[in-house]
Amino acid sequence: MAQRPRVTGRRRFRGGARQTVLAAILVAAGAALVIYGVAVHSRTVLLKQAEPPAAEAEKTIQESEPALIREITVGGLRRNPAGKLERTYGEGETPSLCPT
Amino acid sequence: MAAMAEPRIRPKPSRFVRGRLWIQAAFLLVWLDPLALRLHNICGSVYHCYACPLALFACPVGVLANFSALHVVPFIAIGTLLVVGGVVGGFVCGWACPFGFLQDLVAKVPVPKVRLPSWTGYFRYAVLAGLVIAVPYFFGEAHPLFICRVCPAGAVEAGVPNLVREAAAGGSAAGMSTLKWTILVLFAVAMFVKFRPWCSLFCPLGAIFGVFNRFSAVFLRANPKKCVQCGACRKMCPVNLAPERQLADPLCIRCMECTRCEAIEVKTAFSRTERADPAPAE
Repeated sequence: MAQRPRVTGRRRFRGGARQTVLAAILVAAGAALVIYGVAVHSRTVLLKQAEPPAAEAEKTIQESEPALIREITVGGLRRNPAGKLERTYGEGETPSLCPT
Repeated sequence: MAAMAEPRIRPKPSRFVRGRLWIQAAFLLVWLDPLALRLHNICGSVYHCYACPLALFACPVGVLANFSALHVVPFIAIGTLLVVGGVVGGFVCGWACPFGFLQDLVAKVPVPKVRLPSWTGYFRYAVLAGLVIAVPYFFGEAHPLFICRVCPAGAVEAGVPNLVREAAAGGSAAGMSTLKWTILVLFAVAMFVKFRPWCSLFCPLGAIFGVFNRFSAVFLRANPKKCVQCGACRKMCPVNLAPERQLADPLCIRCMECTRCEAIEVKTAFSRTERADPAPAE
C-alpha cells in the first residue's frame, strides 16, 4: 500500500496561500472603495457668492468625489465654521492654484 | 569538522535591478504628464505634488490630508492605496516614486553616508498620524504643520518651479514660507549624507505601503536552504535592515539590492510554492 506523502513543505505552502488570499482581499476591498467613491459618494458644496446671502438663498451643488479631489488640488475647497464644505472662489474667479 | 558554506553572492545585481534608475526615470516621465492631461480628479499612488506644474495625478497624501481637513472620508484614495499596496506593496517606493528617484540620484554622489538604526523609520507613522490625519482634522488646512505646508516634495516639485515661473513672468514671486525654505535646505543637505532621508524617516506614503510588504501579491522571500547567514545582504541593504529575516519589514523599499544573494528571491502570490514531497517508491 502506498504511503501518504510527507508534507515537509506544508507550512510554506500555507504561507503562500495565505499571501494570495490576503492580497486578493486587499485588492477587492480597494476596488470596491474606488468604485463606491467614483460612482456613489458625493458631498454638498456651498458656492461662494459676492454678497453674503440669506440662509435660505445659499447656492449649493452636489460634487462627486473625483470632483472634490480636483477641487482640493487647486485649493478650491474649505470647511466653513458651520462644518459645511464651501468653495474658496466665486463664479468667474480662479482658485489659488497652489494649495500650499 | 564541516567546512563553512560559501555565501552565494552574484558579482553584480541582475540586469533588472541594475536598470532600476531607468525604470524610475520611465515612471517619472509618466508622472510629469507629457501629454498635459492633468488628471487631477484621479488619486495617484506616488509622492508627487499636485501643485507641481507637471503633475498627472493628485498626490494621495495631499488627498488624505485635505479630506481629513474637510471631514470627508476619501474612499478613492484609500481604495487606490489598497489596490496598489495589495499588488506591489513597497515596490512603489523603490521603483515608481519620483521623489525617491530624486533621492536615489543624489545618493549617487560619493559622500560618506550616515546609517541610522532602522527603528527610526517608525517615525513615519507619527508623521502619518499627526501631520496627515490629526492636524488637518482638528486644526484645518491652514495650520502651519499641515503636511502640505512642510512637505519637501511640495517645495521641490511645486514651490521652486512656481517661484521660477512667476519670476520669469515678471510677477511678484512672493515665494515660499521661511519654514518651507528651511525644510528644503535641510532636506537638500540630508540627501547627500543619508540614503533616502525623507523615505526612511518621514514619508507617510512609504509608511502606508510598508505595511503592505507583509501582504502584497509580489513579495521577497528568503530561502533558508540557501542562506548561510553570512550577513552579506545586510551590508547591501541601503535602509539598514537584515534582509534574511526582515523581508516583510515596513521599512523595506524593495530596491532589491539584496537579491544579489541567491537566497533572496522575488515571488508572487501565483509563484509555485513547495508542495508535499512525492511518495517514496514502492
